[in-house]
Amino acid sequence: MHGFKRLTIVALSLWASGALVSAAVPWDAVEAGRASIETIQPVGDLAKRTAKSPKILLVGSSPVVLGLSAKRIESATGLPTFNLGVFGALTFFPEYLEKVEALVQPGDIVVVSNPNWIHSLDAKLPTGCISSFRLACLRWRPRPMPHLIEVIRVLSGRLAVDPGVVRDGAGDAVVVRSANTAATIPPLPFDGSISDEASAEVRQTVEVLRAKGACPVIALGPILVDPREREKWLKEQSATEARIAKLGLANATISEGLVNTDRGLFLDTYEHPAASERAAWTDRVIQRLVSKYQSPCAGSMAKAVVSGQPS
Amino acid sequence: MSYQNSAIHGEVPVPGEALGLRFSAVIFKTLLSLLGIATLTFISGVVYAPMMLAAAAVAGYILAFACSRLGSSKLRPVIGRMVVPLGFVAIVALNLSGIIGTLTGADSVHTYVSLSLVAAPFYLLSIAAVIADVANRRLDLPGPLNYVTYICFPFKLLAGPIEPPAFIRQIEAWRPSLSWSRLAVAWPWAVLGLTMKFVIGNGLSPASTISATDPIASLMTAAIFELRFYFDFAGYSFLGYAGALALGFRINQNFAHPFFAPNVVLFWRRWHMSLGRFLSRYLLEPNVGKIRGRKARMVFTSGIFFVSGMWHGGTVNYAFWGAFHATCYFLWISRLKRRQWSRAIGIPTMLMFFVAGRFLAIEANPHRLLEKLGNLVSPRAWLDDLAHLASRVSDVIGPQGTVLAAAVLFFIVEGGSVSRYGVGRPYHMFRRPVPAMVLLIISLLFAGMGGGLLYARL
Repeated sequence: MHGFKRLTIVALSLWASGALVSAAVPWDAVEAGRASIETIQPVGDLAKRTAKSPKILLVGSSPVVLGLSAKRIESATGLPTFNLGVFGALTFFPEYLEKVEALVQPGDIVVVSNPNWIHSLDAKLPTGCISSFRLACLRWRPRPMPHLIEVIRVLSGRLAVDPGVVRDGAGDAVVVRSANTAATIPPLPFDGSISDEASAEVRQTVEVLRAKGACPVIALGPILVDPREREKWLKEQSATEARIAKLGLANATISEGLVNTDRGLFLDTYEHPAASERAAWTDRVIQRLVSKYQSPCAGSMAKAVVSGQPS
Repeated sequence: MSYQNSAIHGEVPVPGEALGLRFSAVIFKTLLSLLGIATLTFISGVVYAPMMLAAAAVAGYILAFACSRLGSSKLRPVIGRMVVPLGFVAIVALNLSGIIGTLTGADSVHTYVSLSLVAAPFYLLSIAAVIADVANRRLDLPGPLNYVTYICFPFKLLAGPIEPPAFIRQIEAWRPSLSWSRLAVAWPWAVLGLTMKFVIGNGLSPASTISATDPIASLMTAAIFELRFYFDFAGYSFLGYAGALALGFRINQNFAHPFFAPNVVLFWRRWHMSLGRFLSRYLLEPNVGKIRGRKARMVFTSGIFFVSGMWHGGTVNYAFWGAFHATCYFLWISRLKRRQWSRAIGIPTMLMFFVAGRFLAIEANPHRLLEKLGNLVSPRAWLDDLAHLASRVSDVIGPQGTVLAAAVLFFIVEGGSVSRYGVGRPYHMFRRPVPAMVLLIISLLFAGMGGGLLYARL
């Protein structure tokens, strides 16, 4: 056999086996999940050490990291507030929620922005795959390039932490490096068949939180849509609100300002709020929490007032 | 030359030990065309993208057919000379109207009217060139299947090398088969392309600091953008080259160590070579002979950069970009090339040339561009920057440090390859067995997909 032929066979075999391993094991999702959970470890520890209850926990994916301010909510409500949002929670939301659950005490307010309400749930990993990988986590996702560094990172525990965002002690993003400062960003394409799946997961989340004696609040994060599809999105928003209302969460759903057509309100993608929208969304959450007549967690808020914390 | 060496060197693929696979040419040309169309449809996300391409291709074929029937009519050379310039005019008009985005590297201030226009300039030029070559009798009217295969050739990768219509002769003669020797030549090119595009190119994200207007940050952003364009575009050009080579086609390599060029003329012969040859063949050569006077010819030659600038994007910054390159080219061919320049002057000058060109090309926002240019000549802005030098530099580099180090290492090896093997055997040191295997392992470890194709305006 000629040398060049051997070399070619070795090269093609290396590539094929790398691609096969990578196609079967979702290393990227495992790595992202583990790294994300690691980033909120210090905030989680701080929340755990905070004996005070009630406290407010902000839970969700990147829109929560970039779009809600724990400090602002804390100073407005007087309750210790922690931003536990993680990047990429879409793929491991139930498992992430389990981690958050450990921090929840009776009377706490948990503001949840479920990332899956606008995304397909197909991308989700079975629960438990982030902490311990097993055969059930295997899935077939052929990729031409295996990106095997993910395998090494997962196996060695040296995970890549997102360097684009620096967070403070309360979990708020203080420095954000956007990868896209373009004048245009593509809006979220309309897909009208999502609220059923999302509301099922919201129901599950709410049940878990209520069982812990916490007060769940559902905050639907702002999204950028095509102006031509705005009406469709508004109808979809109403349908989603109706489904969530059936769960007894009519007052606990914050969906004002959900559908937007102004690119200026967004940072780099259709669901990442820019600084101005971050303040606005945070204010909407605050207004609902402190509202005399509409607050879904009036009991917890009353405790804040009783204990002398400012409101 | 031994069989093994020829395969590794990658100069001329020799008939190798066949894999025993021979296929029907008609079926495979059809498959290649369908692959090209499917790629366009997938990337643009709209079915009318290939329909628009099909309409343009059919119109082009009818025109080429009509030209082939014109006999010795005087109209024929006129069409041959004018059709490509008219194609350029049409593309520039599309750019100026903002229908097609610009090649700024970040989305332009103009939004896409439709993604169906992805890479439209590349397809339109190919169609116009066929008409011109048939009209000029450089090419017989190709058969419809060969013509379609040429237009939709998937290894152009939407915006890779613009092959001249002479490539149709290769398509006509093509007998599909796979051979070990071709695979052996192709895979090191593929690995080189993967490393450049997906390991280094995609790791550079200078768009995040494009809004910085202070001199140091804006110059550094431009420099990183220049690297991004090189690694991205050369990377996928080599991937296309490897794919074509594996199937038995020779297409343009498109890049040959451009940053090691000692002057602007040689730089443009080594950067996006297929476009340079295209402009030379269809704009310069047919027209330059009609211009009287050496100086006027030089001005005309340099002015083609302005056309090229407008082809890249119909925005103010591309007008500046075209004027800048036209001026540099003119200065070199009219005055500077007569002198001997030491490396101490030549290298920094060329570095400034690379950065200055990209500085103009990336900034589609005219107000911000003027602010950046103003700051470049403002002593106060420089003093302020120098006072905060460390933070300015770290802001721009951010998380790209490792990738920039990899880029520097790449250039060191590239320099070694140029000095040892010359530009005539491009990137040869990377394609030797051991380095190619190392690059393969690096690609398997670090290359992730995605990142778009800059020259397809994606």
